[in-house]
Amino acid sequence: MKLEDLKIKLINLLNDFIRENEIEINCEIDDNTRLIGSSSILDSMDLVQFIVEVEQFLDEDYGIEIQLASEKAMSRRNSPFISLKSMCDFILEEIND
Amino acid sequence: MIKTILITGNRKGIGRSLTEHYLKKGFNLVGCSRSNTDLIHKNYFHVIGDVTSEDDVKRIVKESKKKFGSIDVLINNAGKASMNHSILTPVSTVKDLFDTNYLGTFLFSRECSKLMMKQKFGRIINFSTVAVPMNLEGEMVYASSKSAIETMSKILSKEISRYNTTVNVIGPTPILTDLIKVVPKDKVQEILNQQTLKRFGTFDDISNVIDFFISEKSSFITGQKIYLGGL
Repeated sequence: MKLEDLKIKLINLLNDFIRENEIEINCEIDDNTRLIGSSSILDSMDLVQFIVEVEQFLDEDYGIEIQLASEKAMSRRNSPFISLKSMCDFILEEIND
Repeated sequence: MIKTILITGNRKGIGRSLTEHYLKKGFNLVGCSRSNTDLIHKNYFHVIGDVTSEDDVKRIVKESKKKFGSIDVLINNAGKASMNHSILTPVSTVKDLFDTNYLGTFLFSRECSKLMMKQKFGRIINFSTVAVPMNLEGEMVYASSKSAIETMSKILSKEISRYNTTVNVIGPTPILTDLIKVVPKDKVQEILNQQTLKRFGTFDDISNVIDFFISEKSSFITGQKIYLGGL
């Protein structure tokens, strides 16, 4: 799986998620869009739900079963869920581990 | 609309009785246990697995969804009991009871919540016991593991409330199942004596409460526990 392909897939997934859950945003979604913090487009429960959706997407579309909210992810100094880019980096790191 | 119910530990006892009850009502039913079942029904699907294994629980939930398309109701029935004085309780018993009762309930609740979150509907029923409010001597580990389930249910009910998913607890009195066979008769009588209604519970007493909790009309009932027998 290539980083650029994954970024595009997750951007599409996030756009679908925002539409389905009627989340109001005032910016274009790209791989630098913040997912955590005061400038995030998602609240904390939206983020939980989106992480679950990413896990399901990886399982259903690629047959990859990983738990993104792992102890490894949670213990990092910089959360891998800050942006789609950092999430993609983390996913590839986990897959290639 | 509720279509599919998953009941853990349903090969016998309360789980089996609930399975038959909800099959009669026309629901799709998924059951799981560590060994196979003799139950055959066109709407019934059995998956063998261990509730204390994360991989097994994920597989059971995944296979259930594949079979019936959704899991609308989860009934975390699988449980173990043990009676012993605290001072004489081996570590292995503590681990075993917490693994089956608490960890098993947690794993199924977590995995099913993921589906319920997406489908924006769900009902989770967890099992406690009257031994929790009674603080019975000799039931420290069992009652503690069930007490932890009550706390889990309260907090989970808040965390997933926005997804139209409720989490409630039933606390049965002793009923005549294999689980109660390990409890000495005088201890069972002691429990019955502390109840307002001094009799064994029945399968119908349990399904009556669960029918109420899982009803689509009970969307405003969450984080609650109902003890049988008038405690």
